[in-house]
Parts: sequence; structure tokens; C-alpha cells
Amino acid sequence: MAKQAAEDNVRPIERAKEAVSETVDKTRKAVNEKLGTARERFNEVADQVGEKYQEVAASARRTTGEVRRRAEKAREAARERYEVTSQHLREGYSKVRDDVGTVVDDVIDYTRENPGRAILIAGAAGLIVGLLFRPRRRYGD
Amino acid sequence: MKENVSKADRIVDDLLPQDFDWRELVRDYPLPGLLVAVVGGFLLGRRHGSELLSALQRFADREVTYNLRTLLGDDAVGDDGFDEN
Repeated sequence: MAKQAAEDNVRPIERAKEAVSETVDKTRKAVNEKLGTARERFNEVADQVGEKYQEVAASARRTTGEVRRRAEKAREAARERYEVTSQHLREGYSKVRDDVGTVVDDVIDYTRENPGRAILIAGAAGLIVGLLFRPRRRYGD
Repeated sequence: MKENVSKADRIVDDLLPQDFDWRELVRDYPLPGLLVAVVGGFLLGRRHGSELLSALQRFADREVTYNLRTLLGDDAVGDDGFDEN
């Protein structure tokens, strides 16, 4: 009789234990499912962010490369134009210098061969310029 | 060494002192010589340009009168260079 009473007292406790254990299992399972879902969602978002980052980085790389390529092209064109212009200037300067040197040499040779004529021509040129630039007298002076 | 003297050389000889060897100086220093001539001509034209032009005009007038007299005879041209009739 007493044994029966003890068994009757133990059974609800075990049932309660089983119920608690079942509840804990369900809760754990639910939490695990939610955690799994959250992890998957997090991984998806992370993947999307990574893809976006890769796209933006690739676009930035492409833009940077394009800008660099255009800058290089413009710099090359400017350098080429500078080279051509400076070459023309150098050639022009050299030609003018040679021409002036030739004229001066010719004048020196002519002056040494014909000193009187050269002196008279130079004096006449100076005289004409002096006549052109002489001070004008005003009326009444 | 005999030097070939041109008419221009003689004109410069007349303008400059006899003992001044300008030919040698110009041959040694051609560009400064020319520069001195240019500056001298410029100053002469600037300071005495009017007198020089007047003298040149009188000279041309005399020459024209002389040539006309030579061509036409003394009676055709008056003393002032124009025909009296």
C-alpha cells in the first residue's frame, strides 16, 4: 500500500520531468532553427554586400584605369606637341642665326673690299634717318 | 703695294684729314667703322638736315640752270634760271 502510494507520487514528477525535457528540446530546436535562419540570412546579406563591394571596387578600378589611360594619353600628346614646337623654334632660331651671321659676314667682306663705298652708304643711311627724325621748327622760332 | 682707290674712297679722303688712315682702320674694324658712319650721318642729318637740304636744292638748281644754258644758249635762260620771255 505504501509502495503503491510512493509509485503514485513518483509518476507525476517523472511526467513533469519529461514535460520539461520535451519543452526544453522543443525550445532548443526552435532556437536552433531561428539561429540557422538568422545565420543564413546574415550570410546572404554578407554575400550581397560582398558582391556589391566587388562590383564597386571593379568599377572604381575600371574608372581609375580609364582616367589614368586618358591622362597618360593627354600627357603624351602634350609632350609630343611640345617637342614639335620646340623643334620648330630651335630650327627657326638656328636658321635666323645662320642668316644673320651670313649677312654680317657679307657686310664685313664688302666693307673690307670697298671701305669708302661702305662708309658712304652707311653715312647716307644714317643721314636719311636723321633727316626723317630731325626736330621740326615751329612757326615763329 | 698699289691700292685701288675708287671714287668713293676719294670722296671720303676729301672729307677726312689727310694723315688719318681711315682705310686701314675700317678694314681692321669694319662693323665699328660702319656704326660710326651711321651715327655720324644720323647726327648730321638731325642737326643740320635743313641746311643740307637747302644746299642740295641750290646745287640742283644751279646744275639744272647750267645744263639748260648749255643746251639752249645763254639768251634763252635768265639769271634766275627761268625764261625771261
